[in-house]
Amino acid sequence: MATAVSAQQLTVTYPGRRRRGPVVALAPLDLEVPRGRVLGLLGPNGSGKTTLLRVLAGLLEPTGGSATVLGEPPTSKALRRTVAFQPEGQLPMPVLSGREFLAFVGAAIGLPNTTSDERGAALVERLGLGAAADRPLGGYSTGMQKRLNLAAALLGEPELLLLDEPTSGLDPFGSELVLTLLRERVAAGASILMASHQLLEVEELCDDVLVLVGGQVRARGPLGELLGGDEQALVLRGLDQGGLDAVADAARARGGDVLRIERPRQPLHALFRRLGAGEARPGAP
Amino acid sequence: MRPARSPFRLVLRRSLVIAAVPTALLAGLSLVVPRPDLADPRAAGAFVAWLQWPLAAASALTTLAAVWFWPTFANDRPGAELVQRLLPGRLHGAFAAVLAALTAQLLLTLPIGIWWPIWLGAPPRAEATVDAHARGDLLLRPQERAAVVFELPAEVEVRAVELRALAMLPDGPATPTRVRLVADDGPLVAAAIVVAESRQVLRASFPARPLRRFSIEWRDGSLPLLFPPGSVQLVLAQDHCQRTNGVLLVLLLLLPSWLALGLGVLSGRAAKLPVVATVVGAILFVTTLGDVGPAGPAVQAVLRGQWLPGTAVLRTALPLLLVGCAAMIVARAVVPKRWR
Repeated sequence: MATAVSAQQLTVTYPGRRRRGPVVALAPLDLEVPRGRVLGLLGPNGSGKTTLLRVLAGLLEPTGGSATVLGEPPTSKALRRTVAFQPEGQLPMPVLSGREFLAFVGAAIGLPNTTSDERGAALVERLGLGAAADRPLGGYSTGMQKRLNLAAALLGEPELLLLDEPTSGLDPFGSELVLTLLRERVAAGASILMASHQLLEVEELCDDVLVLVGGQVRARGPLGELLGGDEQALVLRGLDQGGLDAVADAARARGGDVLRIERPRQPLHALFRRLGAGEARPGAP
Repeated sequence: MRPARSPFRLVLRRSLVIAAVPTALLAGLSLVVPRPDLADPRAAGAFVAWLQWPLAAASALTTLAAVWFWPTFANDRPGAELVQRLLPGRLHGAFAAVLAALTAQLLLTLPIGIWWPIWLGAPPRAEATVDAHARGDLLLRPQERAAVVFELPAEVEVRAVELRALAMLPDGPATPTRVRLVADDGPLVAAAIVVAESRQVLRASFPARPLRRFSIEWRDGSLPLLFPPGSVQLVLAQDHCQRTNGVLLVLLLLLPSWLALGLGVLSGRAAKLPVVATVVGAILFVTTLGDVGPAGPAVQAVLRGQWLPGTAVLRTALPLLLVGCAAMIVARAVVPKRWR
């Protein structure tokens, strides 16, 4: 399978300041992300997630090792369109409107004006920013800025998305919208590297995770392998207590252990989804 | 309105939006302020402030608008990383922002430079002048056969001589000194010139003629006269369009902005926005309103009807151009360390 991201002994050490010694932001890291996979970067603040994304986005030169992105060095100009980077924080140029900002991004990645405008308009509508598209970015809430930032990242229909906290500051509806768009991009064959503290969302979207602590890899691998134990769940509906006891007995008779019988609650985000999270809400913050 | 897509167009539009109204207001103000009728059009040089202020406002506002608006002009601006990645050149669009700010300034100041000097009463034609330097003694003593001799490197076609001599204290009672301008083939003008006070601007006009050497001869009076460099100017026969002079003035006033923006880009490689804005603002202040740059003398020269290329202003402006270029080159070479 072709590789989206490859890194060998990738190291980033920030020089010391005044009396503080150098800081190892990323210890030697080997990484292979196949195309079409979604890798979640997990870890506490300052663990090196953003540093890794910045190196792969070509914004930070590693102090050791090497990396390639879609087969090119991260600083290659050819990656401007095929690799999208969504940094955390505010958008630049707050006096621009959302539409003007997307037009600027489209031109910068080399999209023809009409393509850029059409895609931008469609993304803005899907992300529920249609009514706010002509308002200055300075008046956008954090959630609206996040969504517009994602629209900018998706404008070039990139093959790889490097996302830093794509859903932080978003309400559950906004998060669901973002995840829906990302799933669509993955379905189209794109790969994603996503740093996030939203563990539920990582669990929903990612195929693999890489857990960093203090710049060191603590765990890595497919999510199923990392989370899966030897417990199994059977989800049933419509049985009374007698029926449940009979199922439990049958399980025991086949050599299994019945650890607990409980009434599971729907997760809250499932409720939000049922309530229409996937629908655009024009102008909503 | 179609959206601007390039850094140049984005900054150009923003600079124009911010600077247009204040510049227009200041320019308009200079037109409604009452001015006395001028007997001599060269006295329009007294209205320097009315022309200098709108030009300085346009320069400051377009320049600072670019610094404030463009995210890679200073360190650690919100969203700068996004722009750095999208525009992977050395300056990440900051050079285009500089050119856009200068273009905005040019667009706003061009009409002022072309029409305002004439509305403020400047002569309709600009005169080119050359300095005549005295050969030997600079002092004209009040005594028989006293003379100061001037010689040019080459012969030029001349139609007037302007004197601004320094009058010294006489030994006895002060009486105005009368002098005569004499070329090798005879007097340049028939009438004598009367110098009654120091730095008095006196002009002797005559039919255009080639001239290389002439002298100022004492006739009578008791004031000793000193002719330091710049006190005697020859008005060349060929005059020039005042509007072209205004265009040259506007182009010249781009140089302080170029210097400020160049040093702004350079400081922005390490400093944050408040520092960069202070650097840019301070440089603009001293080079446009202060006495350091060419702005004041250039505006005064245009209002007096002096052809700018014939003045010393261009020589004082050249260092601004060179230092601005050097700052931009160094800024390209410096790769800032990024720290999160």
